[in-house]
Amino acid sequence: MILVAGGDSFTYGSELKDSVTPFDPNGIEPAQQIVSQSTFAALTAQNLGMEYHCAAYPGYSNSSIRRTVMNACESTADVGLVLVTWSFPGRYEFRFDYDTEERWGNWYNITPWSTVDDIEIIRKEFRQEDPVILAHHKQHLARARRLGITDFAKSYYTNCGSSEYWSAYSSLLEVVMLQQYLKNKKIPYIFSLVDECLLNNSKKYTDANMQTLVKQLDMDDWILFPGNRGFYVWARDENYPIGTTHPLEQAHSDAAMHIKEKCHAMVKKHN
Amino acid sequence: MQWLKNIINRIKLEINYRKKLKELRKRDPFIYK
Repeated sequence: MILVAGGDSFTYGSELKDSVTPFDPNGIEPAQQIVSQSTFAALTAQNLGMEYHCAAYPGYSNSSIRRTVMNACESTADVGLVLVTWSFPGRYEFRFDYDTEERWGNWYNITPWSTVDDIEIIRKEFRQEDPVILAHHKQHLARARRLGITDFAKSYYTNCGSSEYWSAYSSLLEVVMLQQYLKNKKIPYIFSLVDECLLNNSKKYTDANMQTLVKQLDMDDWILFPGNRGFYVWARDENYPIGTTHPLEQAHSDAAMHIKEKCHAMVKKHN
Repeated sequence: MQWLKNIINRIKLEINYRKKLKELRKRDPFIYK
């Protein structure tokens, strides 16, 4: 049996000791991608005695997460559990009509940072100087500017991307689509998230469009962290050790313990 | 006067966008891709 994990950098294991995220300061990727085996998703696979397949990648939006998890389920036989940790709602994936010269060709995620066109803004965010990562970003920004992605991101966030409503609504579409897909396929799944604002924001809007989606959510298959928080908010607020921006091994280990019982029950229910 | 209203609306939109983007970046500080 295989556990398929979907998510962003938290699920990939960014900044954990046993993971490597390839950076491409020269436009090539010298480092081999290595997925962490210390994330709460990987530890859950170990607890369940399942093989681990990680479909997550740093920077993924909820649209990428849904897409890559569905692709993984279609190409993987014997999926025993899907564990998805949804990302921040303010990220968006598009398939551009040209090669973005990034890792996935035409597919590209824009985040609130995609509108930056001055490397100094990014440098200021670094808690520790890292010339390799900075060179990666410099290259990345130059490409985005040259191809027009920076202008596209600015226009998108100006007109709708920065809207709390639109970010919640478009993320909910992905959540509901994946939920229905997994239910149709009778694949056991557990959903979690990095920041509870995805659920809280969608419940704030009482109009029919939003509430129609909210009503489709089956919250029995969700796990939130103590205080109804997402993984990142919980780890940050509980003062777990954090690397540059990501919670480190201890938070993952405790998170795995927190979700263990429900994951076991979910797998048992489907067998 | 329409041109003035257009400029004011554009400035308002820009201020709103910058404010919201700042909030989004605070919420999602993960620039490492």
